[in-house]
Amino acid sequence: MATLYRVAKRLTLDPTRAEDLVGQTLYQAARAWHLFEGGPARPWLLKILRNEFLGDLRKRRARPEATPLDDSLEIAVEDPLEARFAVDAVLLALDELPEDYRMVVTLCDLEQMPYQDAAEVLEIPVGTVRSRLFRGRKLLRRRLAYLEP
Amino acid sequence: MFRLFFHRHEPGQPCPHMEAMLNDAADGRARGFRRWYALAHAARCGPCRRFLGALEANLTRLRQAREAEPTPEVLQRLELGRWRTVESPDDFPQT
Repeated sequence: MATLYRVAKRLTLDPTRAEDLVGQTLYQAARAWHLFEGGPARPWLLKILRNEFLGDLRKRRARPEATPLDDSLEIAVEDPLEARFAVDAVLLALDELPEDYRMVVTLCDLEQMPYQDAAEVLEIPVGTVRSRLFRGRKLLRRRLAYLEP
Repeated sequence: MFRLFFHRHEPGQPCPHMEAMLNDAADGRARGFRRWYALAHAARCGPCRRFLGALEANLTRLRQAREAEPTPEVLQRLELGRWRTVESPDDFPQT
């Protein structure tokens, strides 16, 4: 449950939407439980979560709301000094990464998921997971350079 | 052997041919000779050493961040969500 929430939060960049997304994911998973082929449930649940997110994204794009989605993806630029703790800073930097990199770093580094499982969730080759992960980490390092001694 | 510690980098950047190995060394996926090679190179190459140090520090912060969320309140709300109303088999994973 905690994993689903953390990944949902990184995807939506919004705690309320993340809770909704996890709820919707579990609802769909419970309905489709008979289709689950066994094995670890985490990649299967994360795949549903990602599909729910993409479906929601498509709906929002087709029917723009008063607050366009793009606005929610804009991250307020904060003074690095205001990030009191390095942990907060790293999450802030992670949320500022482009979505492709953010997802891979979230799954592989935050959730410590094997490359193979992350590839399965994101439906991309393992090699792409690795290259996105390395690029994402590099971007993260650039954004967190101010924390380096 | 001379190529073992071969350096080729832009100022302030790690050696491009070492990046993947340093990444694998930082997150513990590199084992044996690959790990030794990465660490031995970093020990003698300033930019690669800084790159590896920063990577390890950020990975540690991410692991710490993992503990910070979700809060127990959020977790409780998620546990009590409407997904529980679905008639599902008994062995649906209780998260």
